[in-house]
Amino acid sequence: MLAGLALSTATGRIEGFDFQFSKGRLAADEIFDSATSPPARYVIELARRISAAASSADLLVIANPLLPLKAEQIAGWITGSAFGPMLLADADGFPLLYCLPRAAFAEIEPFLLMLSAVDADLDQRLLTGLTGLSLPVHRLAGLTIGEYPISTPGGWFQGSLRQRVLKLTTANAIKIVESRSDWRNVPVAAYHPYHAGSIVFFAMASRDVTTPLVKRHVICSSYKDIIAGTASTLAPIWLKLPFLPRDGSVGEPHYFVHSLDRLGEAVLKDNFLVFMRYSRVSAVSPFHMIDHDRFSLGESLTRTEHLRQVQPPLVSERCAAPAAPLRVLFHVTGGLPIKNYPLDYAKVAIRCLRALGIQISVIGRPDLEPFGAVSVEADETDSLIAAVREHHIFIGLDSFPHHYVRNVMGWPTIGLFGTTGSANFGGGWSAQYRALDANLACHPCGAETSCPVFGSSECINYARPEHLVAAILSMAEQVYGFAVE
Amino acid sequence: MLVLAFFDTGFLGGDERWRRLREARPASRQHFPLNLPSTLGQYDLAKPEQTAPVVGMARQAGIDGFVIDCRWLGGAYRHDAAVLAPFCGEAFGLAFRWRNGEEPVWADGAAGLEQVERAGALVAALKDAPAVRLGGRPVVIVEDPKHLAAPAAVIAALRQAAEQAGLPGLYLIANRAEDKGRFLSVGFDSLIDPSPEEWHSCTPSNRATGLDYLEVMAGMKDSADYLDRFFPYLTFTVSRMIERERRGKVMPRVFASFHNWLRHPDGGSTHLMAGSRPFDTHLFELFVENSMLFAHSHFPAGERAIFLQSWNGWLDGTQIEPSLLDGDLVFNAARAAIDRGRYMILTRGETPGEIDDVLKERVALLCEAAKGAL
Repeated sequence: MLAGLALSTATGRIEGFDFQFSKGRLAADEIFDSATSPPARYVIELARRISAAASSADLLVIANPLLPLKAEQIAGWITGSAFGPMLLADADGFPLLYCLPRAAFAEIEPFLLMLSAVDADLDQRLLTGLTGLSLPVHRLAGLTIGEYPISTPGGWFQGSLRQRVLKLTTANAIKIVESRSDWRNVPVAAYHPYHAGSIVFFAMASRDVTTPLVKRHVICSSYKDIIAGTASTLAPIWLKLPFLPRDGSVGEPHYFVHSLDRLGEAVLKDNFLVFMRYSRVSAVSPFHMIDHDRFSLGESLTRTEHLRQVQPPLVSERCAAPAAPLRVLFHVTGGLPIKNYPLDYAKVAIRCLRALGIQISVIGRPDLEPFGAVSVEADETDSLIAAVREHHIFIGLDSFPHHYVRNVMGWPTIGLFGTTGSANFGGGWSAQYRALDANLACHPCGAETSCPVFGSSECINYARPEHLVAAILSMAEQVYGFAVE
Repeated sequence: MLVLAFFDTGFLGGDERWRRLREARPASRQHFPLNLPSTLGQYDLAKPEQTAPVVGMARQAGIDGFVIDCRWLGGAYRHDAAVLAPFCGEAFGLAFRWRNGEEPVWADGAAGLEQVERAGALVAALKDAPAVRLGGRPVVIVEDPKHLAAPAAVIAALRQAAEQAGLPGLYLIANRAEDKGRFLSVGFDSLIDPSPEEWHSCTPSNRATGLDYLEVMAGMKDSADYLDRFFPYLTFTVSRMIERERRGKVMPRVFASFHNWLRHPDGGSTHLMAGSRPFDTHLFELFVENSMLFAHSHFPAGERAIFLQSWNGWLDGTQIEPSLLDGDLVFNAARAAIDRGRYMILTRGETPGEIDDVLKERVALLCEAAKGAL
């Protein structure tokens, strides 16, 4: 639930607006659901939407997106008090709503990204600096939000450690605004330093934004080749830290603190930092991660036709070699055992393809050579590109090679999805791309260790080998005119 | 992609059905209590002002039509399409579930002439209803296809009667989980997964033993442990989707919950459980959206549908309508899932061409051989 009010001080008119996170319809009362957007991004979006719908209002009230608030509820809090710019918080200082002049929301829009949405006093200080207005913080004595849960039914995960991250970015912003008269010229930098697949999506999104709020991108220096290959429009700020381990041994908030240390004072002084790793559960939203990132970077995405996922891909290429012999490159290892394509499925698919006269290479799996595949090394972006170019079709899992090959190279690709959803991480649906899964009713579960239904270490939602082989043959026929003898 | 919901028209012209619901009391602590309506109230479908919001709310959820019962009563086929018809149109229509199992004539292999007459009567009863269409034809679910002694002849008679009545034909769906060469080959257009009661798609979590029986008889155990069947919702629904394309052209039936103890006062009821609750909205959403994607990927354009059990099946706890105990949780989940499913279908576009059946068979055989060689 997302809500706000438009107030007219001259007439005393109050108009309420209720929105919900979209499940795909993107109706007039829905707002795009982006996992990489911090709560403050929704403050901006609400202000945009309400401002456009209520052009005669002079004050806007925006409810804290982290809270399940309705316009009727916040109107009840506002009614009876004198209208004016202010913040309303609960008894402990958790922000409930922000009331600012309508024009101010537009004037300081990119800098609103640094609102914490979890600390009214910090947000008041930031907004005072940004607007020059005197902004009282009123507290609602009878309401205490209490400890915000680690995850909510509405899709947020903003437990206390993550709240500290938000407060740190707000505190840094306050420092800049209060110490630099030229703060309006200080760029906003997105903190989104890992992982490789996410970097591909973020970089591709940066090329597809018409109203950017962000100019720079804090990113692990080990991803220089990806940034170069994707032609990101965001200026990189290299973070000289190894990327976050996937085994959960280091939490994101802790990594963030180490990142600040490593970035150093100069970077913090010269950049507003905004946290754009996940704030919401990605699978709650039906939309693709590139569109999640486009929204985070500034696009409003109010209609389905605005979404990259329903448009032709930005890049489309294909193999120049003759259609026969058909050559297929297979990436079967997804980084976690449950994300791997089931071993027996892979063996069967390889044997079947070989029997049909198709040459098959696998990335980094010499153990599959006895079944007829050739193992190739492609552990760097350059070697991946070189390997892909020698094959007609790439088959990948929900991991970096798939995302790069599909989105950056535009190569004919088949995506195999088990625990995660093709809607979030796939590559669209065209003659040059197919996403395959078994449509099980548990999908996507997001499991990272074992199957939550059957307890197995492999995921049974992967498409069976006969479906995979059929999809390869069908794509080969459509894209290359290949026919099995 | 059509989303059609089973609809109970029994809430018509009196309070009897609602009274039965109000007075229903579980006989075991393991039985979830039945729920009562909130937003739409205990409506009487005979009153248009009460029926209009029912259809309106279903449309709001993204449902394209209702499936209502048609049965032989008092010498004629009867249904209640007339009470819903004023609220139907281009975007909302009706399909029928033909309760053929209640008519002995269909099991009689020697009653060919009478069956032809009945087929004509059935089509005459359906022909003016505002129909949703699959394959361009009005939809009829044959509830008990095994009850047809001569299914091919019955289907031919129905099609002929439809033609004579000026209909573009009928889209006939057999209520069976698996084809096994018995239904599609005799002329059915497709199949539909049976209801949870008819098809226990996984093993129950209570597998009663002789000792259980003795303990029940000795008064040491709840008889529901022995007589009823309890299933974990997730396993039950996942099992319905595993390798489902191998079952033939079977349309998915989805449900948020199911507990039909009211219909089984002496035991033998079926219960789906999500932990300690009758439903889990997240799992239900996944069931719906994956079913929609399956239908999109595996059925021809114009024949893609899933069936939601149900809009108002209050008596077996399957209702989507907002309720006193659950508010609009299940309604919102249905709406969200349908929205998500439709959006995902939009992103996938039309299913690309497939390889021909001969090559498909060759691939299947090669895979089978490769599997055997592992």
